[in-house]
Amino acid sequence: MRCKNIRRILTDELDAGTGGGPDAEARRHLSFCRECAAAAADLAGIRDRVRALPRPDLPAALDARTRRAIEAALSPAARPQPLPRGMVAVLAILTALTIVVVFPIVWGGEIAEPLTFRSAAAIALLLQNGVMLLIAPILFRRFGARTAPRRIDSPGGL
Amino acid sequence: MTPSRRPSAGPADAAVGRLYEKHKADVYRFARRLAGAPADAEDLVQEVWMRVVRHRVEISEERDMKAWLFTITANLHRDALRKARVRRLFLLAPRRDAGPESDVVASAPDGAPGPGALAEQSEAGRALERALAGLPNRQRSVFVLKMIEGYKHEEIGGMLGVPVNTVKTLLFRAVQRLRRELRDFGPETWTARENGQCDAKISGAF
Repeated sequence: MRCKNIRRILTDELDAGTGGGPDAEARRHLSFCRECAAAAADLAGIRDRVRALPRPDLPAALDARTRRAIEAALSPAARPQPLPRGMVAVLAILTALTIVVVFPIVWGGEIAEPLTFRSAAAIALLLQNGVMLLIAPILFRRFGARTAPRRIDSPGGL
Repeated sequence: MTPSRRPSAGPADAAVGRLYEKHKADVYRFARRLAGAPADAEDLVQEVWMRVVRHRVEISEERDMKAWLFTITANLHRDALRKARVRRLFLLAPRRDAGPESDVVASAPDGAPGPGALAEQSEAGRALERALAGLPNRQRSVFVLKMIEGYKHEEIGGMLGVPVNTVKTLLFRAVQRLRRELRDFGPETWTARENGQCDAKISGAF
C-alpha cells in the first residue's frame, strides 16, 4: 500500500468516526512507515487538542445588538414599499412624451435650426429620460422593487 | 409592487427568530474561529444575520440550517478578506497582521473564555489558537469545519464549493502547518512519535 493511499484512508477514517481505526493492511504500513505514522499521530493529536480548546461564548452585548438589528430589519418600516403613485405617474408621462414628441423627430432625423421650441423640448426630454434611466435603479432599490430572491445555499452565491 | 406580491412576512419572520435562538452561539463560535479578532467576528456575525433576514424565505425545517449558516459565514468572511486585500492594495487600510493582538483568546475583551478558562488554558492552548488564526483562510475553514464542527468531507466540500479531494488536501496541509507552528508545544503524540512510540498511539487515534 502506498503512502498516498494511507493518507486518504486516514482522512476517511476521520469521516467514518467508527473508532475502529484503519484496517489491517493500513496498520501494517503504519508500523514501518514513519512518515505515515507521523501523519496519523498529527491528525489525531491536533484534533484532540483543538476540541479541548475553550468554546467562546456569544457576548451578551453582541447578542442584544444583533437581536435589535434583526427586529429592525423585520419591522414594517424596513419592508419594501411600492413606488409612490406620483413617481409612477411621472415615469409614465415621460415615457408617453418620449413616444409622442421625441420619437417622430428622431425618426425624421432632423432637428430644426435655429432651434425651435419643439426641438428644444425634445432634447430636454431626451436628457430627462437619460437621467431617469440612471436614477431608476436607485429609486427601485430605495422603494424595494424586488426581484425573486437569489438562492444563497450555493457556495458562490453570496 | 402590490402587497400580494410581497413575500409572506409572518412565518418567515418567526423562523428567523427561532433560527437565531437555536444557532446564534454556533454562528458566533464559527465566526470567531474564522475571523480570529473579536471585532472582526462581531461584524461578521451581524452581517450573517442580516443576510439571513434578507433571505428568510429560504429557511426550512427540512434543511440543515446550521450548515446553511456556516456557508453564509464562510462566504461572507471570504468576501471580507477579499475587500480587505483590495483596500490594502490601494493603501486605504493598514495590514492587520495575525499576531498577539489578534490572538483569539488573549485579546478577547468580551465573549471569549472567561478569566477562569483563560487561567486554565495552557500556553500550548494559546499557541494553538494563534497558529489556527495564522492558517490561510481556506485551510482554516476546512480545518474548523472538520476538526471542531465535525462535518464530513463531502459536506464541507458542498459548503465551501470545493471538491472532496481538495478538502482532504487542505486539511492535511493545515495539520502539517499547525504541527510546524506548534513544534515547541507539541501534543503528547508528537513527543511520543519523536521517541519512536507512535504506533501505540495510532490505534487510539480514531
